[in-house]
Amino acid sequence: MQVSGRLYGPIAALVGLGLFAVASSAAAQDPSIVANLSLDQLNRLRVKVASVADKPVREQPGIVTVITEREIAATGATDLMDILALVPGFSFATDVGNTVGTAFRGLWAYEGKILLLVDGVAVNEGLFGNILPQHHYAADQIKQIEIIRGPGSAVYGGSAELAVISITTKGSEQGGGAVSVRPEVSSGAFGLAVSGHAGAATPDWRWSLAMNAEKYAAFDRPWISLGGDVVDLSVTGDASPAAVNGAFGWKRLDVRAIYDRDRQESPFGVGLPGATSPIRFSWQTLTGLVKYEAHPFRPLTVTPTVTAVTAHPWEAALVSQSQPFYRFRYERLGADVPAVAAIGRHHLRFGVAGYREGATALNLDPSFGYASAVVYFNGSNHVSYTDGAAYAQLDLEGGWANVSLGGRYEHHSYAGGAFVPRVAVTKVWQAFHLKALYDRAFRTPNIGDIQQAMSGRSVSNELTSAYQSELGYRVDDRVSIVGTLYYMRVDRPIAYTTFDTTHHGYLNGGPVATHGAEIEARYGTPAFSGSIGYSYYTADQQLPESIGLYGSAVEGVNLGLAPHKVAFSATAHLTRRVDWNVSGTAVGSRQAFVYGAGETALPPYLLANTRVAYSFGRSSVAFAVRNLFDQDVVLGQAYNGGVAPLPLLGRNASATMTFGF
Amino acid sequence: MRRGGLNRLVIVAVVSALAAVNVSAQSVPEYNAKAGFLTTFLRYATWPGGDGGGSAAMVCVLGADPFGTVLDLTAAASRGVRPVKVRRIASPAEAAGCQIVFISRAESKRESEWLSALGNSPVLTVGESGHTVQRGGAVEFTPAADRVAFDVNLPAAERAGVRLSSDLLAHARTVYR
Repeated sequence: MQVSGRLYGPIAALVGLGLFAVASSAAAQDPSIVANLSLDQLNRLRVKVASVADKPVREQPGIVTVITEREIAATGATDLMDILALVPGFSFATDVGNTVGTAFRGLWAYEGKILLLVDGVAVNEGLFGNILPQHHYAADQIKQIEIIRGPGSAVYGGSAELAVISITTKGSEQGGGAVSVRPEVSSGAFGLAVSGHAGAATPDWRWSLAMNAEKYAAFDRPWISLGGDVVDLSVTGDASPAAVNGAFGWKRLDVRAIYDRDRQESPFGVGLPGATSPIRFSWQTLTGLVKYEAHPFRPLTVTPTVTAVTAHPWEAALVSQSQPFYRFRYERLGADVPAVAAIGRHHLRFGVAGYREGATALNLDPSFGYASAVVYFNGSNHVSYTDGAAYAQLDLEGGWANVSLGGRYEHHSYAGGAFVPRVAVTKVWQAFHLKALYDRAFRTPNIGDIQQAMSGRSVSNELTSAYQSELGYRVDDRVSIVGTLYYMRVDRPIAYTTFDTTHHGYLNGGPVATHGAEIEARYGTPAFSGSIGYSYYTADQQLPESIGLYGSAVEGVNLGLAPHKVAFSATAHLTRRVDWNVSGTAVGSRQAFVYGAGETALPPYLLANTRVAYSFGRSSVAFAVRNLFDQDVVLGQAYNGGVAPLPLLGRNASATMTFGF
Repeated sequence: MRRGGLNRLVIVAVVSALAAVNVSAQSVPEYNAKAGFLTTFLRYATWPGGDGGGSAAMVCVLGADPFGTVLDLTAAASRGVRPVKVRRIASPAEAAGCQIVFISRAESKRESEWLSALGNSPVLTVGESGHTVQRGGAVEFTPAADRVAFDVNLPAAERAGVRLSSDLLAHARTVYR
């Protein structure tokens, strides 16, 4: 066989990188690497800087869930939605374009209310702040997810209003890598995912690279629009994400680039003026990050970080046409200079941050009802805003309890200023831990919200107050139970509504609030591990009828969002090589608008999955069946916005073959 | 040379250079580094009674154990004159046979009491409380930017009959004499 000259370079690079990964794998992974060093070498050894985040979860000044690579793999999760489904408090609803958005504690959080970080980079879409968890963020490339269940604005700013999801992908610590292929099939759809990741480190250098391309078996059931159209989503519901995430580090300098493309076909065009066929939505984002960890003097660590984003969010084109009818470019340049000072056992975290973001209308087709691109932003095709912030948090470790006091002031050139304080008290007493937290948080309106403000109005920051408490008890090394109570109130929520054909858009509504509880029990032994969690909310305050769209006929329930959820996962380690997992969620009824019946209760469902995995060395073969009981898993819209409930996949099976090196 | 050929040479050269980077040290979690120090101290100190006739040297963790399995893995991989073993003990009374006794910062409240109880026992006491040396411990780990450093209380080591090599003292951040 003759290898083309054009392929010689890339092949040589791949072979070399593979050798590099293998050569340095021991150094990267093995703690015993330090066993035979000289004192001189030990003295020069760099140590990862301890921070507040390194504390055990029960001691952290927040309600935190940590999900490890091992737990993700055990459940056979394929995307971020699968993972979040198992976390108390999170639920899902559908929205424009048959996308799936995330809600938290009974509050619809799809637009800018939850911050999603991938390797420290904020990846919420730029125009509206959306995160798209379904068929997105390949689970097999995730090393760990840390979720702050509750506001994080005091540290993370204006998108961390209700929760923060921080994904850490597998990096240089892998000391090798893996390539996997996952075909999946359901009664009406076929999917294929190809994924690979590798990384390695030496004392001074480190690198990692991850790539995935997938075509999901997204839907296999008919969808009935609110107008009565019946659409076969297995034909028009193609979802095909792809991503490349590469990182390189030298000593204290880290550079990362992430390319992410999500694409989904939707029948949403039915009924839109000019839409004669299904629509293909796509989101393309290229993000770069440069970070340097400096130690100007002994107790202080400063990590200046610069991020740059260029994206085409929410690009829309008819499937039958190549030219998009809705296309913007979003750009953002940001800098953050966080510092941590260790003062004895206490820590002071502080810093300044700022960004400039802008959007340019590239192509808007007037036949779809849009204004011309050249005048879209108040007579121009471009708009930009700036934002600056200063923040600090003092974490005091006292004999009686640990106390965190913090706050952030942020000023946005359109929305103005916001100050959010936080107080957290954490007490660990033998097997018990107790946390009491008060947080204020805010959400800065996104460019899309500002541009589509209700005519004659402007939108301002929405503000959240959260009161949370957590009580945990470790029965022994195997069993732990944690319970959380919360009350969350969002003042001036930014909501889209329609008064009439000429008065529609975003405005700040009256307050919404929920209170509820979450409880989770975990069990772990070498032979068996499992968890079960229950979460509940009731809506105390809902958007008034005058805002339209949002009210539910059932008191205490918000549209689209089930008040009750049980999530479970159990893994039996049958042999040294064979694991068997059963996981899933039981979700109560949800209120949603359906064709011909108005607001209706969607029936509860039990989404149960099972997976058997056989591992040999760093390779494995796994077989999974999802939606074991072929339930109708239907997501409603979280407001009466004209999108009919979305039926997800019925029973489907997959095989995952992973070759590790 | 054609440009494509030059590109290939550059790629191969860069990759080869990366592969050849020395792996003599590592950026590691704090307790990996401390585990390395504990097993290495064994090579730079002598105890009353010599090397124990080739029997295993014992590193003991008194009270809370912050190492997990790291110290065991480090000890197992140690290639010193003597094999190294790790033992967890709950009180100073169980320290017989230990060459090194490590007290973590989680036991700061009991450190003073425990160091007194160990008295002049022939063990090298190592702590990390921020007060270990003042309380009579022999060695104390101290943070130093992104490194782990250590201070030595030489009289305390001498009272225990543990002789520290000049090389070890030379690598200490501070030696209290």
